Amino acid sequence: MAKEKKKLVSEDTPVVVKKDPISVRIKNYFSPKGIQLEMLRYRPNKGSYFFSLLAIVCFAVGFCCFYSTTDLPLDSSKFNLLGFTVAGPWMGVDIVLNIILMLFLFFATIEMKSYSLTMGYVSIGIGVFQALRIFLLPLSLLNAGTMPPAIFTTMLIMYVLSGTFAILAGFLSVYRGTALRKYLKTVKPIENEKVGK
Amino acid sequence: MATLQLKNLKKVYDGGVVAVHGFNIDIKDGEFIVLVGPSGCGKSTTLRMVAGLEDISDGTLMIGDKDCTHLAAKDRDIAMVFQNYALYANMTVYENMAFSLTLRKDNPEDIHKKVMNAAEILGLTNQLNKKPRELSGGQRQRVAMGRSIVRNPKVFLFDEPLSNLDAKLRNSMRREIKLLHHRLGTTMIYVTHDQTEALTLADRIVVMSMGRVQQIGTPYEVYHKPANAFVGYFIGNPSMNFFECRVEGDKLVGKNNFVYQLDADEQAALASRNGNPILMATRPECITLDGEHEYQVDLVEHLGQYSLIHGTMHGYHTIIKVLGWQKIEHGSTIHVGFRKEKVCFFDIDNGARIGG
Repeated sequence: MAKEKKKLVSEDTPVVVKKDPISVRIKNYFSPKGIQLEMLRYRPNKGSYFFSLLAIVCFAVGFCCFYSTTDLPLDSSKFNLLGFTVAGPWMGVDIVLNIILMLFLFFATIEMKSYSLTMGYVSIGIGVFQALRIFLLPLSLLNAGTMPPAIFTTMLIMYVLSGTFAILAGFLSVYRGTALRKYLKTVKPIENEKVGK
Repeated sequence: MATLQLKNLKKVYDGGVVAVHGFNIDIKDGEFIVLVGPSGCGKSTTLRMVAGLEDISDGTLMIGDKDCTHLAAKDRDIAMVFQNYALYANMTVYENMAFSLTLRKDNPEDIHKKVMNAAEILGLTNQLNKKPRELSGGQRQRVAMGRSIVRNPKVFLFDEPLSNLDAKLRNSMRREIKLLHHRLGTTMIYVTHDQTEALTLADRIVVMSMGRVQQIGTPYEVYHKPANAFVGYFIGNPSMNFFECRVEGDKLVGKNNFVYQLDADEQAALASRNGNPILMATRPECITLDGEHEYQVDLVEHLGQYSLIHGTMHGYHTIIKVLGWQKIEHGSTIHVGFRKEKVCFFDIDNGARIGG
């Protein structure tokens, strides 16, 4: 009697890998189904992690750009931000804000690897603020004639990119995390389940 | 199909040290071969030559119809399980098992299916998100096996995988490896210095010593019909009892009036050795507690299911293995005999077995 062999892949049948169109793959990535959901239990959320890191890099470049010039005159009669006409204190606030935002974005980067919903929303929030903050201090300084347009343009690009990546990372974490949590309610739990808060 | 042919495989290191002399074996598809021998006998070197981790100095290695003598390890379609597991500490169990397939850029869904399948076979489904440091030794070894299984190789190689485990775990893992072999049916080559593992796991055993093959045979053949004195000594726990005697006609005569009466078959086998010294040997369980030989008991070890009686018979230090809890006093004298059909004879110079 021939020995029954348990083969994981048939030796006779050649394995033909059919790749789905890119639109389908993007859709499946955001809304995983079936075996893809099961895979999420064991694989970290690399997409969010990657985009979040990119957001931090763009954030840092924009931040460094802003403070790269030392001859930015702070006193100008044309400066006005929310009724305040002195730029100096706003610079201080901006620095502290950058530190806090970057710290939270860094935490979010780590937590989103575990499909954290909370940090996904935090990342989205930071992303929206990042994209809009160009219209606060930087635009006020540009209008006051104290910021060179080239620096403003660079900052605009970097902050918008940073915001976009942070929002994308957050959306991925929220969408995939939600789908995974729904799926986990239907299956038996395992030790060290990957899902964060 | 994954047959293996090792033809005159030889390994010579720089400086002229010959680690393996002319290793020859034909391994059938699905066979479980165990290489066993003392430390330094060349069994791991042979395995590493098969794996491609050591260059083959001479001879050929065929895996199926493919000459793999000088083929890179990655192209031989084999998988190896090491003594120290060799797991990636920063990866989870899932990632460790999927790693080789990820490197090959396989479809992620196929990788997942293979990993889950292997995890189910090995009982690791609940451990997949753990890191190796959170696992016991047995679990780590199973992860190492799982990493090999997912690749669906033609041949599995095991290099003393149970040596780092405690005795109880070794027993359970031994069973699991045997069950795995039944389930997968893949050709396996297993290296160990533990002759118990060899006897329980193997379809055929290769006993090695000092770089040379001493005997290739089934566990029954190697245990009951050792090809030479080394095999008789190495295989079996306790090992064979050896008696240096001289052939004198129809009997063997040893020291202190030891006399062993030869039967017709034994006389025929030893006819050409008349007047010459030989080695007579028998397994401890083949000495009976009734007979004409006086046996001075030095020590009795009770191991539950059986007892080991250490003592001296006509000046020969001997161990007798008997079933049950024997109430024999230390220092007492008993009488023992030999089971005739289980007595072997070896050449005293080269250790080769005399007769069938």
